[in-house]
Amino acid sequence: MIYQNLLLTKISDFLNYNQQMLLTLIVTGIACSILGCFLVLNKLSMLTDALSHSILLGIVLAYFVTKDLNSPLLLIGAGIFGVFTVYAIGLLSKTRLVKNDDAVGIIFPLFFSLAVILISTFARNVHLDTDIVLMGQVIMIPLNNMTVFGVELPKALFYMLIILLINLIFVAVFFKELKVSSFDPEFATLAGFSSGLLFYGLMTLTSFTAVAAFDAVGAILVIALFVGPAASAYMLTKSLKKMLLVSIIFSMLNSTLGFYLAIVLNVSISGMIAVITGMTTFMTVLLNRQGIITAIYLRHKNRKEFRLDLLIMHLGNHEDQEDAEFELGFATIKDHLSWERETTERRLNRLIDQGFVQRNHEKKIFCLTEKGRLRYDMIKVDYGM
Amino acid sequence: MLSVYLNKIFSLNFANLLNAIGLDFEILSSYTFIVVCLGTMILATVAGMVGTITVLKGQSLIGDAIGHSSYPGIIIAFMIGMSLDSVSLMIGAIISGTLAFIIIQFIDKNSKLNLDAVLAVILSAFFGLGMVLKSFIQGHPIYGKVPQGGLSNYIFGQAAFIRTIDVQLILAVAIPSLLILFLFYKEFKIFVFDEVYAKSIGLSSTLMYVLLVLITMSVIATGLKLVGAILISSFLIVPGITALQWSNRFSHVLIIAAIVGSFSAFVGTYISSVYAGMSTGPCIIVVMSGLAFISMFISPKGLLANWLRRRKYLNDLSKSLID
Amino acid sequence: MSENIIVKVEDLTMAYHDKPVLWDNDVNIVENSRTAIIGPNGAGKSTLLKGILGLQKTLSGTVEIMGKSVKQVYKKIAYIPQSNSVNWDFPTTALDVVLMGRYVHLGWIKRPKKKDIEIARNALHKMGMQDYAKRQISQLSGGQKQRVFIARAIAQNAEIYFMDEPLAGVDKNTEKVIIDFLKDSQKQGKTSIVIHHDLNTLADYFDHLVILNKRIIAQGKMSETLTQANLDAADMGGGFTIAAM
Repeated sequence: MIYQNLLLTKISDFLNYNQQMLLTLIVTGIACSILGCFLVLNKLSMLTDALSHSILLGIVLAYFVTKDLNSPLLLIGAGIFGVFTVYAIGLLSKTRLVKNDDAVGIIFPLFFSLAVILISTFARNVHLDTDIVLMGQVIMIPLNNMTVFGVELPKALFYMLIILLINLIFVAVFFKELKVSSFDPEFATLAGFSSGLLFYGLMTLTSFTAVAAFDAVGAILVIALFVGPAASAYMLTKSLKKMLLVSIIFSMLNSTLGFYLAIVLNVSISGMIAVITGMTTFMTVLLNRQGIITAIYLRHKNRKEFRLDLLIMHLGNHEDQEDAEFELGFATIKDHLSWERETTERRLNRLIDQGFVQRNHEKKIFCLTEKGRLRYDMIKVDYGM
Repeated sequence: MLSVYLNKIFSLNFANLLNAIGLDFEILSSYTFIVVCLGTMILATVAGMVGTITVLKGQSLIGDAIGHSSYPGIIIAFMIGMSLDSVSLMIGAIISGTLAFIIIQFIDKNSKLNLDAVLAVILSAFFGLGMVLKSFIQGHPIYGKVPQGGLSNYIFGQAAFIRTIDVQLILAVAIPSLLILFLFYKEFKIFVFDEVYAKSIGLSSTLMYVLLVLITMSVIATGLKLVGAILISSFLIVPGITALQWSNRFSHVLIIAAIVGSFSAFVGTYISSVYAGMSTGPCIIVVMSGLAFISMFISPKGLLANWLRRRKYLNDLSKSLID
Repeated sequence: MSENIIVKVEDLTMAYHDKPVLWDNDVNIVENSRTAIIGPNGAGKSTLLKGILGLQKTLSGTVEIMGKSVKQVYKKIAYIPQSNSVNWDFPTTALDVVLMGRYVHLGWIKRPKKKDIEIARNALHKMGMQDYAKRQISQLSGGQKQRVFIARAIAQNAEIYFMDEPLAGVDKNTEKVIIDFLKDSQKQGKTSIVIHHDLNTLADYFDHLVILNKRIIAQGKMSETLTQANLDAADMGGGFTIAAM
């Protein structure tokens, strides 16, 4: 006994209950958001809604087989059922009798209804607490412990760590394939990467992640954890790696903020994190580079770039014409665009630095370089000329 | 009064007939069954017709998001009114559902996010807010004194508990909704099939959206007590999807959707009355979905017909290629 | 010059939603040619390309590319789709998209090496897009996007290019870059098959022609195939006469 106790490390020696809960939430959030990025990019966000509701039926069916609410087989059964749900939705929309959204909308309420009926008729002794299904039991996380390799830690934390590890490996190993098949599925198929295989790989992991997360945080927060951080990151980044990274940061931020707010106000932790996730996403909508508030700021900045474009346009328009020597002299440019002498000089110099414009010392005029002419054509396209 | 009257009719003519086809007359004539059945049938009829427009506009998942999003409105209405009065809770649901709808539209227009991502985020944020508020009043000394057990019913629905006042409320929403649908039938038809054309002939699509959202929102709000925030979207879209398997004509689709909705409501309510413990809402949805799948299989556009047509086509093709 | 057939299509029939789009077509593409495919709207031009590439189901027929099936020679084929078929808001840069051309040779799991990035950079340079390497693709103009996709095909180092209306909606400069690229590739022994919509430039840009309207109306050398009779047969004669060129 003494010998065993010496080897046993208890996580509670390092982290208090609150910290254990938060750590579990953060691990869950990261595991969800790295898959969530690919779900958002593939326009599959609402599948998480379908999954998080359908797996209840999976859990119920698995319970009829195992007859044990604590069996890990319950989670595995539910995970497989989640994949089946995705498959069923895919099959239904493939018939072209209904649109994909309709397929999602018809399948998951049916599965959820069947789960509710089965529980209320055949498993009445198993108390279905609606609040637990939807909100999970974050508070219970530190009370449900298990010992792994001499470490005692919350069961939910252990499961989520394993899921996180699997998800990280999957995304790291198949990063290139996931990227190309989400960006351009036709090209991916031609390049020898089966989009179907990757899709079901992604959905299998999504389903198992949803089941494990569902157990800890409930059906509603699962949706927020998958989609919210990924959606925020999608608006802010221009490369997939950054998107993954930023989504993880958002996820940690949402969980931490939501958790402590819920503790302080003594309200539902899952609910609060979902609310905070919605709010950060909404803030990103307002404040990102193409967002509404930024648009006002950018209009000012664009005006600057627009002036440079205007200068290139002027040079390009007059270059091949008879009055070129007159129009492209410094004085005429200054007058025709009605700019100050200094500003005209500064802007011309800037374009020369950027390699768009060159001085013709003989004729004392300015003209476009090869690169400048290319830019001239593109400006015309950009402004629809 | 109503039940006495119905009782008379049933006992005079149909009692033996019903028993003969396997329906339990005792249940059919009980007052509770009649009230619940009337409520769910009227609701399913209107929801099916209104929802058909949503399905045709390709927005079937918006109903799901709004259904979830109306939940916090119910809690807030309870917090303000300190009572479980059906009307005030319904108004709360309409306001929060509408707010969610406006935010969804706003984000959809002003960001590069896909609609489905927007729906997922808003749905979970609003429902999360409902959960936060509910946990807040549960632990609160002021609200603790007011009975609030009924609030949970709005998540999964508790059709068995509805009373005559709820049926009256459903009627109060159903009649104007159907009237609007009837009066603006032509406009809705154009709006559904060609929004651009509708605009070009001077039909304000904003007005049409406002009308549509208004009636959808009222139907959702009245339906919450019967089927709950999670499952109400089925009442909207499943009858429409089923009807679309059978016809391409707008008027026929609407009528079929209404029939599918009310029939499912009747059968579902009956089943849940016979087998104690079965919730009414889920039972109706299982019946509805069953009808939808059967339709997808056997309807003139369905899988069976498609398969036969394809086989014939391939036969003809191979014949013509050989020639 | 003997003419080798590089793409051989026999009896190709394709349907969309059970409605036949292409009927029993034989198509032969000559090696090292610049072949244009023309036809009226709904003639099944894009469907034909997709059918050849195995991207869409066929009801009957066989396709041989360099004497083999598409699956066996996929590394040597580059397909440049119509520009509206991808998600332009995807978080990826121009260089990154071009780099995807190298994935074809990398296969599963292996990562692109420095050499691959170098090849991708060169491909961008060839399209005059080197200054836009780090731009997010949504910030490129229509012509620039098209150039990025052609650069991806260059990076892939394919032998045959399949292009679906590469000149639709692009600026004059991009059009010139693309046509120069096609002529250049021909000198290097490559073959291009391009869906084209502008009859005025047809004879300047291409040397072989396939006229399609659900069935093959005519195919062969440009000078022999581009006749008023053939255009009329494809319902393309209206308002356009060869003499007007």
